[in-house]
Amino acid sequence: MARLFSWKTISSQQLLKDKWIDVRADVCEKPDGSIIEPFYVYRFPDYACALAITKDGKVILERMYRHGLGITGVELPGGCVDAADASPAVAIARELREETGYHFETIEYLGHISPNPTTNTNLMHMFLAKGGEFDPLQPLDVEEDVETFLVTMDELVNLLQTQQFAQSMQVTALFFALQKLGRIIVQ
Amino acid sequence: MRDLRWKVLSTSYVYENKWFHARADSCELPDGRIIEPYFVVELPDFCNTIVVTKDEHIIMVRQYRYPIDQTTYELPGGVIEKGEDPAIAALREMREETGYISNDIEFLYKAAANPALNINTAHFYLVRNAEPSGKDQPDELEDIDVVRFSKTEFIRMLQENKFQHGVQIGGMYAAMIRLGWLNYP
Repeated sequence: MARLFSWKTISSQQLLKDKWIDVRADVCEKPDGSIIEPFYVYRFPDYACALAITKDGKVILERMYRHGLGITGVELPGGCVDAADASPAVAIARELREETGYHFETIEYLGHISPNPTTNTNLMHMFLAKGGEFDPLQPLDVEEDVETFLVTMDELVNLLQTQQFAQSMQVTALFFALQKLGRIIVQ
Repeated sequence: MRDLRWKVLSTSYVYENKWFHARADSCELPDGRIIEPYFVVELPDFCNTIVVTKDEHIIMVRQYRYPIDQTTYELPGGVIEKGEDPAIAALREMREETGYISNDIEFLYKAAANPALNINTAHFYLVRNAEPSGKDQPDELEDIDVVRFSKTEFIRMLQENKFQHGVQIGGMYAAMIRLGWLNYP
């Protein structure tokens, strides 16, 4: 029988908060009455990313510097779901336009996961975008300092197998997308 | 390829206690912009293990996750102690959390948990031929239930997105491919 696990929040103290980060230390009471103090919680906005494929079957990837770990790795296009975005689907269409300059014929929802339920409050929404066409008139978001490049589907799988993707949660999104495309099958 | 790295102009710790190390960096971007402060939270590396028994069942743990107020099915794992071999940590966490033992362990891959804000890396392992030790009991204080899934049930749950931990799902797929249970056609 499933036990009850829920914790009660007794108090909450903000430790860090700015444009990029929001960390608080909570005091929590467990079902057996014991107290956990402190428990650190990271509050992030929801996040969306996509495996984005062009009309001629190429995959759009990005190189980006990540200062926490100090690495420049390969990533899927994506970004935060802003308050102004009506839905995660609207957010990913906007991020794809602003980061890559491509518009897509279809953007299919692959579901959501928690980036890290041990510490984070937010969700990651995963998408498969197809039929991408480059729009030379689309203004790009230069603030983000992102370098985009195109690879074939085989090169994508090779990048995945050789651990070139920087973020573990994007590895998860990639596997879901490859499964949707029939590029991972049950034996 | 352009050099996209930031230059660190200065760094200082704003929190430095047992469970929480946070520093404020002053950073210069390639185009000369300054970001100050840029907070980095220094978390320890951790390991997660896909544990497969002799009769092809997967051993997982069910636990409560306070930040999302949900109870999740997750891979056994935990923090790698300072100086500890990640594979040894994986076997130790498996034993402590599930009571299963095995020496048949292989490395799958490692990737950052959140490279934008954190410095830690998740290490994934596949353990085969796991069996209950009979003597090690899962730590009661950890509030963990040990659960067993058949091969078919696990693959179905994975494909239907029933596991919530985004860092770990990539490791689960990698293990399924290593085992030959899933394949690139």
